Amino acid sequence: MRFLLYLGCTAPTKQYGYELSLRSTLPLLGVELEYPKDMNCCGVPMKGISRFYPYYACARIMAIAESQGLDIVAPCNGCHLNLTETVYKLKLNPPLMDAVNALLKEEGLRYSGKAAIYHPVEVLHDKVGVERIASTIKRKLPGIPVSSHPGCHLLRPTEFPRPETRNGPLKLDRLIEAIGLKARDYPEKYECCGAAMLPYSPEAAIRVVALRIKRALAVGSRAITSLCPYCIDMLDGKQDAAKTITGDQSLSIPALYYTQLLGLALGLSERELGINLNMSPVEALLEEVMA
Amino acid sequence: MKCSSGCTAAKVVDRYRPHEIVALVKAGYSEELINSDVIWACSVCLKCTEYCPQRVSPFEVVMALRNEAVSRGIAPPKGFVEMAKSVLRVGYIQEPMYTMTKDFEEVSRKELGLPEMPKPRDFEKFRQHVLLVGFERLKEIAQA
Amino acid sequence: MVEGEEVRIGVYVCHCGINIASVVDVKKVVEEVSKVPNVVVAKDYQFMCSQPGQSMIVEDIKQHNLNRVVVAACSPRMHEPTFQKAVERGGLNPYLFEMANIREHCSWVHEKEKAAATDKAVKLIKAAIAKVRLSKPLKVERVKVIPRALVIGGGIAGIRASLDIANAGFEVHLVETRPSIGGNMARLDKTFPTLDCSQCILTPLMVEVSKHPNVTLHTYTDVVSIDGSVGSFKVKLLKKPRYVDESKCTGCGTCVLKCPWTAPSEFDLGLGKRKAIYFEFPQAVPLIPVIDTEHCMYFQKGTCRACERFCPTKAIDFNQKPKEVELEVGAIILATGYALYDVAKAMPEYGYRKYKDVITGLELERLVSATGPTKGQILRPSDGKEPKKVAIILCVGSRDEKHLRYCCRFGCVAGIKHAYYVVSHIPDAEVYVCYRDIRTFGKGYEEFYERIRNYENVRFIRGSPMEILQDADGSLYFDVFDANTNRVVTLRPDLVVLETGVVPHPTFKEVAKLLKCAIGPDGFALELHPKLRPTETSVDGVFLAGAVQGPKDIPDTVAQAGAAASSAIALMSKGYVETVPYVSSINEDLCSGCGVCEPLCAFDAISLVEKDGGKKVAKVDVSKCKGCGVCAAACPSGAAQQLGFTDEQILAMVRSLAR
Repeated sequence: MRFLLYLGCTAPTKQYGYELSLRSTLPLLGVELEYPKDMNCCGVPMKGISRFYPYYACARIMAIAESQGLDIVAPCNGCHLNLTETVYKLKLNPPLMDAVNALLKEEGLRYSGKAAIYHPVEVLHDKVGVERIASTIKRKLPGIPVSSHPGCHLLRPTEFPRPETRNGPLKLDRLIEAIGLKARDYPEKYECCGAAMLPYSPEAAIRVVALRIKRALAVGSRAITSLCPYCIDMLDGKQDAAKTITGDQSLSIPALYYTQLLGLALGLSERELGINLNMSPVEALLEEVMA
Repeated sequence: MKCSSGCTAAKVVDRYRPHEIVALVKAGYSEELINSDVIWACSVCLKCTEYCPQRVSPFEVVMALRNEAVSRGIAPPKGFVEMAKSVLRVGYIQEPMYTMTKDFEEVSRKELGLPEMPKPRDFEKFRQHVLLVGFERLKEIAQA
Repeated sequence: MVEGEEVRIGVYVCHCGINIASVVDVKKVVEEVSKVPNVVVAKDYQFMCSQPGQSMIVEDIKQHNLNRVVVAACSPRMHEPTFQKAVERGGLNPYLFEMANIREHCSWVHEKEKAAATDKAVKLIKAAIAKVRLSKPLKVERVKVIPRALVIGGGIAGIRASLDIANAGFEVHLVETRPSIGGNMARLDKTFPTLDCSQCILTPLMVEVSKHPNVTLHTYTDVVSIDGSVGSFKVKLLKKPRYVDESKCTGCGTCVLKCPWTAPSEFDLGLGKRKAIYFEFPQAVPLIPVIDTEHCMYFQKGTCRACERFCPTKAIDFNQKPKEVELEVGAIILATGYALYDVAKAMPEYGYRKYKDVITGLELERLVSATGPTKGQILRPSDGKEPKKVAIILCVGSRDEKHLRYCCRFGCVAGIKHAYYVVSHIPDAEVYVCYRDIRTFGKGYEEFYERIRNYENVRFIRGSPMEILQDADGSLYFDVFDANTNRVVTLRPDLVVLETGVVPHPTFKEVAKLLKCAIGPDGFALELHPKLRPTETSVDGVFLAGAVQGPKDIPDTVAQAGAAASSAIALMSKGYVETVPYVSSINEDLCSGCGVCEPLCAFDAISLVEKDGGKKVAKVDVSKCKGCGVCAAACPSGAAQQLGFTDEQILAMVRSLAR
């Protein structure tokens, strides 16, 4: 299995733990990642500036993958949504597709919609499979209750196919259980992390993520996990801010990428997984996991 | 009004009500909205699009209002301007940052052993295209 | 008309008040069509369908010795029968008449292009003239109507229709797929707006219909095939085995008492348990139990036989087999009712079936019912405690373009009634009714709404939640935007009641397939006309009663059941039906017996038969033929022709239009 790794903006500019853990875990499960030489932003946070820009930006990304004959793995929920939406909308709208291709032609590129788009949750669950993960891991992690936070864009909109569904168990939960942890339902697992509100009002955005952390703690989760750089940026990186803004000092929970947890089960080191970059209090959890 | 019941932003921003925005647009008050910063509060969770019983997407209405504001040279909140400027500068909404490890060690991509981020090959052409597809007025906004 | 006789046509152009005349220049049209060969008279008139208009046709036929008539007016669906009768009164065969639709097909759609519309009207009339010139008199056949009716579905609609027909002196066969009649109404505790006890008004009718000398009840029975057409339908029923001999059973219930095995009760919607041998509910009609083989230890493992041992009349019969019943009936009434929308699957955001304390309105009816799983107490399913805070959510799945576009037509008032259930059973409870609009259109409904609105502890919130969530302690919570206060409020109810949308009962789809009757885009039966013929279907002799046609409350259901019954009674008392002569006809000399037409016929009306000398030819069963014309279109030799629409006639129209 070989994919073009399209990281987007958030993961490769600050969420290094995600990139490190993807790069160190996936090859151990037979997934090869090709890193492109020519890339750009998918445009998801730019929809408000220009509704047309994301079509151009995403078609450009997919045209590059096509030229290399590779399918894409897009680890950011926003990128995955935007790429999928572009495929769906361009297919329905030939004039839009022509307009996009006219621009790409000047850059020596052409989009036809051949490259498939995967999210790591799909690569791990659908391509690698929970059985292979369970049989590859070096140690089964203890049955600590962990809440999954798949993130909005893996679930919505259902107008075109999304990797996760609210109707039935989550793939991410099955993956959590595959490495020995216990998936603990928390009521707001289908909700938004608030990241896209940061440019408008950091305070409002942090109030949103504070609600999520509070609920996850309330159901007795010992950690929260996701495969979205926006969600972990909020859930992991904004806990101190959440405490300050809400005055609630209890808003403290280990937040990790699923690939970081997976890496621990595969016997990788904290450093290889970038866990030393996480801002949330992961130490106690790590001790328990590694014991 | 399911949208306003479930809206992520509405729970933390009292004056943000997706159903109200749609109703105002329908009633001809778009002008008011375009000139208000309230349209920039949406958290892009897409719950309104997903659950609206009338197949209206308040999210898309809000995005159209934002686009209209930008095309008229009305400045969005600073964060959005910064991201757009960065796209025009490097092709991404931001550049790789230094980050801190638990041991207060400042690290960059390079120090973490990560390869350099790929940028658009013909950057000038890419930049021209971005300007062409809706960023033209933003350049002026950014310069102002 | 005699063969070879000169064709003499009268053409009548209607103004339809100003509907046609304000766009089409009718005088000019008359002038143009009078020039057409064989047109003897051409006239225009303000209302051709009026008495003077019709008389004009009758008199002209006599005075001008007309043998063909064309009326250019509205759609033939509207007035063709009117003018055919007029032509008949004038002494002509009614099929020597043709209608040109210059209203729907012309004036209404070309309002702004008057000259072109006038030109088009002339062309349409000329085409009709070209066709009528080749018309031949057609004969209407009379078919006897068997004075016996079949009613499919034993809910309140089927029961009411059966009683009305039986009381008019006709034989009725009432078929119900469940072990007892009663339907959804039997599940209700009270009926709005009067709060009558549902069972108290329903069970007397259930008993009456079962004891009526003209009614034969077929419970636990499915309809497996329906052939034939209006007046004589041949129906096959399959009686499922109850494993209880109905002739011996006295309904004493000893078997049920002694049966040690249980299963979720269908009647209580899974909220309660029943035995493996069970009565659907205590007032079941007929009061004969049925064995559920899936949960019966004898059928599963070959042991137990407690029911057999204890039955005082030796009525248990483990060897009972399905039994076929054949019937011939003249009319059929569809009363298959409704089922609830599958909210668990379609709307996971509401947590129905995921959270125990999210229930449907119908489930609340069972909780409130004295014979229900909680013996009439409102206790929430999760822990059996009395809820102190109840949220009732209206329009769940209804009026939603992603789910059901239509209104369920009883959810609002049912929700209001459910609020009453809560406050009357638990006086210190708080009830929140979340609504989008409150629709209280029925008689006494608004007054009922007002009465419940006056309860201090019933609050109406104008808004619907997007989702229902469950907290760590198992409690439910949701946010709802209230348009009346312009606030997003968080509710933490102990029990949530969903007033779910309704869909046609799944049996309808099966029966519709057997009957080939039209289904509307919403999945309900399509009536012949939404206003004027609401009880008739696309199949003659098949009538609609109740929610099979669309969601209905009880008063509307009962009213329509009466209307459907009277349609069936009218058909049977008349005793015969006249067939439409626009059927297929085979010219046996031209037919090569290729058989192309046979599998194409959707109504199984065509079969290949051997003639003397071994030649195979197609034969049309006129009683089955609906005149769709598929065979005529497919026939490679032109042997199959649709009477009234022969190839010759259609081509003449095409030639006229193409000129």
